[in-house]
Amino acid sequence: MTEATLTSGQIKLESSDGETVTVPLNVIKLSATIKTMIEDLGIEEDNDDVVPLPNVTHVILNKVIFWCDHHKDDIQPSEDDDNKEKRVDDIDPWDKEFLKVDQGTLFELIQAANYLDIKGLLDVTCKTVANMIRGKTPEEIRKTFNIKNDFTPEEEEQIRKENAWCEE
Amino acid sequence: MGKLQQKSSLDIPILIFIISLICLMISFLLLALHVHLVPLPAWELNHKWNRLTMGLGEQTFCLSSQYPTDLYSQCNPSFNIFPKLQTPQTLAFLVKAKIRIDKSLFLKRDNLTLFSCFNRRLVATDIDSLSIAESTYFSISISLSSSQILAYNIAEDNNIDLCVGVISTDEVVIKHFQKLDTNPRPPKCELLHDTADLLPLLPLILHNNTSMCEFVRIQPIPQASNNWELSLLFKDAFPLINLSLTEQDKNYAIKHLVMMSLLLSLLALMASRSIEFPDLHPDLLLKIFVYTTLRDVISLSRCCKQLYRTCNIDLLWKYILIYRYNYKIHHTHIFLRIDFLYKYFVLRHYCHVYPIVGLWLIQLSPYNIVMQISQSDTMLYALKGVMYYLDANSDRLSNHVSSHNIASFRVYQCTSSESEEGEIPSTYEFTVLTDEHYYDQFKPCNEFELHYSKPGSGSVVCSMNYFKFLELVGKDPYARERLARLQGRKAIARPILVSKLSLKKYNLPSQYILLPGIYKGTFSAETFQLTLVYYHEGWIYCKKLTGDILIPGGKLILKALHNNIKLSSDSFPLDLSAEGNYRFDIDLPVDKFVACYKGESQLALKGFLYPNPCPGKMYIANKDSFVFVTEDNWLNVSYFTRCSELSMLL
Repeated sequence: MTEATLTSGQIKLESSDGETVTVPLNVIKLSATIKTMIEDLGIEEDNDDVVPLPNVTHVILNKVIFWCDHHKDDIQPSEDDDNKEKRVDDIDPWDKEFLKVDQGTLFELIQAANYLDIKGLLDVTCKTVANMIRGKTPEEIRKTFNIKNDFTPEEEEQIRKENAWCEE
Repeated sequence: MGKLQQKSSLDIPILIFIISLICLMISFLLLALHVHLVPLPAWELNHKWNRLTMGLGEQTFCLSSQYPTDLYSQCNPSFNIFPKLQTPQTLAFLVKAKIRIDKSLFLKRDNLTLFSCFNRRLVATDIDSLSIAESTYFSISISLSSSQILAYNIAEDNNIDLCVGVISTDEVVIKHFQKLDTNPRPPKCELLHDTADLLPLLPLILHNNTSMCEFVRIQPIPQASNNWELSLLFKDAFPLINLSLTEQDKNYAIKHLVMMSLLLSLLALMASRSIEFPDLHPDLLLKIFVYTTLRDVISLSRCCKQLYRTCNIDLLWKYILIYRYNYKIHHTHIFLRIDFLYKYFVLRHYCHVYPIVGLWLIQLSPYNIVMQISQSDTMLYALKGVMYYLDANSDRLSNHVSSHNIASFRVYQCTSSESEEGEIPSTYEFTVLTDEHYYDQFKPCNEFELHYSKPGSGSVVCSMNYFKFLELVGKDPYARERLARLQGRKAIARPILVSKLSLKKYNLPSQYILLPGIYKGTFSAETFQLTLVYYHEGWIYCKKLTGDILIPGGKLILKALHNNIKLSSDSFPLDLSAEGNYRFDIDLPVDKFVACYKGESQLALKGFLYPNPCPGKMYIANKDSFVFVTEDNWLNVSYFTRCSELSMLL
């Protein structure tokens, strides 16, 4: 697979529910998983090969592709960016708008971004979820994510004590 | 209603047929309800993990639809060899295969091994005659009768490799293998509407795209009485498979189909459920935690049991350590015996909080005990600890002491009595159980109390019944003698605030042999001590953690210029083999020193009077042990080895 085909070619992806989507390679190249797959398997341009994505539904896949399309010309962050301090307030406004989805979709996007290894999308989705957690009490978190409190009062008390040093 | 209206217009044979079908349906119902059903395996659907846990005899299998590559077996260690299944399809097949109680079957995709569980034993049968290379779907089907299994592999050309096996009492024998030509394909969906003579018995709701049979029907074969035909209709392009069944087989198949449909609907239910926050895989939660504060992680752990478990996975804290703090974990730091080690490491080191869990020095003269308390996730309240028992009165560092001075214990049934609000301390009463390493069984030792005052302020009172304590300490031959002296004493314990001794402020030299950390050993063979070894501006320093009557804890006692003196073969001044020369029972690594540094050690009189540096040499045996010998008195030998598990806390 040459660099030229990576920028011009197309590839067919099949979602878990059987939908096939044709995506330009320069868009889906943001996914390290697919990029590696193409390079390793040498899928030729205009071939009928379909890449199955058993973990991604077509709804999510379309969203992922939409995101990739918008970000396809972004400068790829270099490796040593990992050492940078983790900020949460630097979410791109477009991404912010893009991620105004229900929680289920958001989590599925995280899973898909993780599976497809799209670093930018994973970062921004994780930041979004982190922002939903930050500075909240357990009760507020439960409310946010609709989590049922399944501790008995005794257990709850025990855990509170266990972490008592955290509450100054 | 539709049927009734049609009746008049139908001719008699069809009417009879329909009636017979209705009767058949009723009989099926009766079968399902009243005939001895093969008991459904006990199952539990865990929404949090999208996981279906199934009991199978005494075993429990666990499978997850969200992460199909992970198939866990639980409860029975002998099943740790469970292969990781590769495809989402296999998942469903596993469920299907589990309709038998004692004999469960599933397939490993990569090398086509059929695993069967017989009487709690796992048997693997290779089905190498099926070629998987070009297959698109592979499946193992239901047991058609009490002794049959069916596996099929649908190749890309839509031909089916069919494999019929027979389950005997303790193995699977592959009986038949054939290729089915599946052309022409059956028309899709049409059969479903054309049901006048085909009764779709049990439509199976399947996880989408698992491409398993969607409809199953069982019908009598017209020419042969008491013989039935079972048809499996696959999704879309996949062909219909017909198999003839005897009456007995049919009943069996029906029984299984009932369960099958139930299980598969469950699976579909699981698959269709939208993901919720606690469902996220710990790996992904970690990626989120990178952007939260640690306090947020603690808050999360208090939300529900699922998150409590996830937030306390030690690996997670290890990653936090690596990714968040860019901490380089030295491989010698890995000490698996302590649960939650990384969590408390992070909390102590970076957040400067000191939960009760941690490292404590208990001065219980003549004993010094360093107790490391960590927490176990097996019981919410359970604590687990390692006790370092430093015998100040022991006049020699013997093999005995070095091998037995560490007792580990478990603390269960931790109760706490809290005084008036705002007024801590709470008293924790532990039931101490000594480790089976020292005793055949855990012996309860209910006399151990740990009081601790306001968390973080750093004072602890520890008391215990000393008789029990001595039992705990282990096989100390002097224990009985000392019993009388110890009886009734109170001990003062204080936490060792390791973070104050943090090594981080000291820059490691670019090259060094001896690892920094906590070392245990003797000074002048008098008392057993813990010291902190660190590097600072070209020197190696050794600071006491535990104190004795001569030099209190916290004082520097050794320093050596980090500048290697060339070792000659006879450089070590002691001949330990000489008669009367020294009281070490242990073997000093005299002929294996790799480096030697010039330095001095601090000597003092009782009560730290007239401290006086005394030149000497530090011999490095390896990365975690050294010997210090003073020049004016060659018999003044200190030997130290590194406690990797304690050093981890630095």
